[in-house]
Formats: sequence, C-alpha cells, structure tokens
Amino acid sequence: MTYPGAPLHSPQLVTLPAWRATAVWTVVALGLAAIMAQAWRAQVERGPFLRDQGAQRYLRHFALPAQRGPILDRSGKALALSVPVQTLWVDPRLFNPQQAYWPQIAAALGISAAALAARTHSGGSRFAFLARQIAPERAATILALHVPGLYSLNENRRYYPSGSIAAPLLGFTNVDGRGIEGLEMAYNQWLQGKAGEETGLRDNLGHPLAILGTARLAQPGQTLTLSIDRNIQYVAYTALASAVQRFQAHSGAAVLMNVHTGEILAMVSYPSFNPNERTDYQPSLYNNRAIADTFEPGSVMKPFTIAAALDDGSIQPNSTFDVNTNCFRVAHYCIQDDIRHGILDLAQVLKYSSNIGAAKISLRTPPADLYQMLRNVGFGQVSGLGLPGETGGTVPAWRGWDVARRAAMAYGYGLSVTPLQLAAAYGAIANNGVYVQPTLLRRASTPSPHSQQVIPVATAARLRDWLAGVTSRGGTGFLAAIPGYSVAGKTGTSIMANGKGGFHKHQVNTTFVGFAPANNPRFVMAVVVRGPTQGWRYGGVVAAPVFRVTMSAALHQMGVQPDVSASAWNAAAGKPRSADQERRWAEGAGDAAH
Amino acid sequence: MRRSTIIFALLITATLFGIVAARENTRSQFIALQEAQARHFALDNRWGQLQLEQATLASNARVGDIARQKLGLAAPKNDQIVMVKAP
Repeated sequence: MTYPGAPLHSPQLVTLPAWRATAVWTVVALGLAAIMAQAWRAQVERGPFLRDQGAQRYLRHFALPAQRGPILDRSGKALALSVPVQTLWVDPRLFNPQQAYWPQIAAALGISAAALAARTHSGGSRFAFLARQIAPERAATILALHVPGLYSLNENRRYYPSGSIAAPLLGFTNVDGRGIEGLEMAYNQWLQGKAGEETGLRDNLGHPLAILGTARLAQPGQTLTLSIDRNIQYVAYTALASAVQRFQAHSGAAVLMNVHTGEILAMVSYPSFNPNERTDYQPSLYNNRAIADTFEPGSVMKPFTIAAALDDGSIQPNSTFDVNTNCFRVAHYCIQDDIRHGILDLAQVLKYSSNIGAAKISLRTPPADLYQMLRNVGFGQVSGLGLPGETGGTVPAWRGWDVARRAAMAYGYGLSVTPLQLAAAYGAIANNGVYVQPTLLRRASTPSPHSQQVIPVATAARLRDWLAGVTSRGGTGFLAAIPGYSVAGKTGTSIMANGKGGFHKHQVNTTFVGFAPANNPRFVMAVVVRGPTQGWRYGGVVAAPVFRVTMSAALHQMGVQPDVSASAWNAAAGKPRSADQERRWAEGAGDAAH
Repeated sequence: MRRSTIIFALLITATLFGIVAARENTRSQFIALQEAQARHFALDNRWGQLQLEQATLASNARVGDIARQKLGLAAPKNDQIVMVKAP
C-alpha cells in the first residue's frame, strides 16, 4: 500500500537534534559513574566493615581448650591430672524433631527419655547441654548416630588419683576447670593455661570445612610441683584417720615439715572428702584444718614461755621452781598440775608438763617479751603459704594482759593457733633458733630466703635437750618415741573454750608437736586431734602415736639414718608407764588400713 | 597483535590451572590437618587415661591392701625391729 506522491525507495533521513545523543551518553556515563562510586564506597571506603559483617554471617570462632597443668608431688607422682573428655550439646531447634533417635541416645547416656527431654529444654532456644564431661568413647558412640543438631566439644576433666588423702589441701576445680578451693584456687593462674581460638567454616553438623587465618594455639597450663611427698601424706592421713576413729574424735589435722627448708612434706585434715565424686556437697569437709582451724594450744606453748624467759634473763637455765602445791592461786584462778611434783628444773617442767611451773616462769617475764617471742615464731599471723582460708590465729596485744592472762598464756590459754603455726614454730627450735617460712612448693635444698634468727642458738639447743626428755621414760610424750631415733617433742591437752567466756567440761584438744632426730633435727611435725571422746584423752595418748607412725615413715622414706644405737635407745626410753601404753607403743608404725 | 593474544591466553590458562592446583593442595593439607588433630586428641586422651591408670594402680591404698591381704605383709612391731650398725 502506497501513498500517492510518496517516494518509492528509502524513507527520507531525518536529522535528529544533536542534544538527544548527548543526553543518552550522559545518562549512560552518569549511571556508570554512580555504579563506580558505589563500588568505591563498598570496596574501599566501607570495605573492611562490610567484609567483617559478611564474615560474621558465615565464619565461626571455635575455642581450643587449654589443658590444665598437673599437680605433682615432690617425686613427680601425680596428685591432680587433667584428662580429655567430651561434652555433648544440642541445638534444640534441629534436635527436637529427631525424636526417633532419643531412646538410643538416652540409653547410651544411661538416663531416661524424660530426663533427656528435660535436658534439651534446660538451655536456650539454640543451645542446651546434653551431657557434660563424659568419656570420649561414650561420646563417640552417640556422635556416630549423626543426629542433626547434636554436637560435641572437647574439654578437660580434673582427676585426683590420691582421692581423699590430700583433698582439703589440693582443693578442686569447678566444671569449667577453674580452681575454686585449696591449691587449685591459689595457683589457678599458673595451672590454667590460655585457651586458643580458631576461625573457620563448618557445615551444619559442626564438621570443619576450612580454617581461615592462623589459629591462636592453646597454651597448656604449667606443672605445679609440690613439696608434698605422697607416701608420707598417705601415712599421715591414715594414722590421723585411725586416731580420730579410735578415740571417736571430732576431727584432726597434721603438718610435717622439713626444718631446714620449710618444705611441707605432709599436710592432712580429717574428715576429708572424695574430690572425684562431689555429689555429697558438705562445705565443712572442704576445710583444710591444718591452716583454717584455730584452737587454744595448751602445754605445747611452754617451750616458748621458757625461751622468752631465758632470752631476757628473767630465769637462768638452771633455775628451779617449787610446784609442790595442789593449787597455785593467781588472781581468782586456781592453777593445777595433773600430778603433784616437788621442785622442778626447766627440763622437768617440760617433761612433766607442769602448768604451775610454766605459770611461775611467765609471771617473772615481762609480758612484752613473751608477746614478742610468740610473734617472732609466727603465732598470730598467716604463714605466707598463700592458701585460701588460712587464718592467723590470735595473740592478744600484751598491754591488755592482766596477771591471770599472763599465767594462762604460759601454758597455752588465751591465744589461738593453727597446726601449721605450731609446726613452723617448733621448726625454729629444731633449726638452731632460725624460723623458716613454710612452703608447699618444692625447693632445691637451698635454705628459705624468708628465715630469721628468733631464738638464740644456745637456748634452742637447751630446749632440744629438754624436749627430748618428754619422749623418754616417764615423760608425757612417751608414745612418740621411735626406735633408733632420738625424738624431741611436747604434748598438749587443752580444754576447749565454749565461746561464752568459759570452757566445755569434757571437750579437749589433744596435741603433739615434735621433731626428729633430736640430735640433728630434719623434720618437725604437729598433730592435733580435736574432741576425742573415748579412752585417755591426752595429747600423749591420742596425738603422739600419729606422730610416731608418720615421723618414722618420713625418716625411713627420706633416708635418715638411725642416730641412737639399740642399747642406748632402750636404756634411754626404758619401759612405758602402763601396760596399755606398752601395748600401744609396741604397735610401732602400725598398718592402719584405710 | 595475534601472537601476544596467544601468549596472554596461555598465561591465563596456566594461572587457572595454578589456582586449581593450589585449591586442591589446600584441601588435602586441611584434611591432613584434621586427621592430625584427631590423632592428637586421641593420643592425648590415651595418655591421660594411662597416667590416671598408673596413678590408680600405684595408689598407696591399693598397694597397702594387696600387701596386707594378698601377700600377708604387716608393718613390723617396735620390738621386731633390729638395728645393725654399719661396719
């Protein structure tokens, strides 16, 4: 169809205005420029931020657990170990629809299906613990089911191979591997190590697909080597436990220390607990009674009364005291001895543990001097072990002492001490008058940097001789005598204060503190048994056998040679006072099963 | 012009193969790492169990029980101890 008059060939070219092409190019160029600008902003200006945001949506950070350092005894035997275990957790949104697997999982975990359901609902909407710290083999059987929404974490669990024997000393960790009692708490930083972290991609089952960047490796915790000897610790614990059980006592504690280095070889507390199974939660059992329980020490303080009096010249080494009375009256108190004696020298005051003699000595001594002596040997202050729960006991300031207090302080009333303080203070007598700060860390035979001459050498030597008399024939500490070794020590029996200014009628603390060999002391030990209710409730009967059993084990274990020949020993020790004593002493090192 | 195009094409192809090889290498290294980590965990686990077992077997209570009950041993009484002097 054509129009009349129209040309038959190509249509006529119409020249468009030039601005239209320019406009199109301009629009295209502007569009490209806008894209470029946006790309610049996204890639360069906000690049790091956007990349980071992106990574947050698909990258995941995984903690690499650090193994907690072990705690070893002085010869490298394990006291606390961390063992790898696995924790199973679920994402309830993915896990809840998989109920077909539940009976199998519950059976593998040894719980009911209802308990399993409760666990999956105990956490948040995306996370709940299914089983914490189970053996890897057990976890592997459950993980082999490949249940969606079920994941595992590698963790470490703490085990204490020695069980209850060192439990109050070592303490324990919580389920997150943090020390919350005892040495585990005190040395948490040292033991803990540093958790690492890796970043990467994982699939929906939690299996790693790729790791991006370098992982921060976990730094395992460091080894803590103690001065404790596991064998001596065991002997001390069993001996103490059998004493507490035999005399049906309330509790007991003991500390055995090297007199030269201050290293503690055994520190026990009874009753104790099983640190591997703490379902029966009883905080009172967690107490380390060797450092946390204070008590009025009684007669074991007499050597320090004498040391203070000799030191300032209030008495002479050859002074004698008339104690031939049933009642030595001081203010309105009546001081008595268990057995009436005549005139006693200083050795006999200690050997027969005469309260009247000690009171007479103290009343001659300026109270400031006695106070200073008690402070110097470590009473009334914490020892510096750094253990949580350690108490310093109390030594009241001397300005407040009346005459009755001065007399009472002489034989260990009116102040409170811990078993550790007693051991360290007797350590000073044993160590030529040098007080050595106790430590629980192994030292390489170098003397402690924290040592101080607190008793003159000559006085310390005299006290050692006199204290050796206590364990000899007729002395109150006869049951502490060890065949072949010279033993020096002091018994203590104190009536327990009732906290209302008076005393319990029938409750006593029985104590024995001593060191061996008396001629060249190596070890000092303090034993305290609180509240015995059966039999002869005296330090020499209840506590001294614990000392004998443990100290003889320590002397043998540490290779200390006997220092007294058998005949000389028999002559010095002689026969015990009673048939009962004879029988108990003859038991020797005993073999208390526990 | 044509020769340079060919050279560029060859270089690009070589680079592509290089990328593939690098990826493959990464993947196999990653698998090896995973295996090594699993082995590390398993060995760690075994080591921990062995330490624990050793400590349990050597525990004083166990040794004491065996000595008393199986071997019939007892600590000597004081009057059973004989001291001899080294010559």
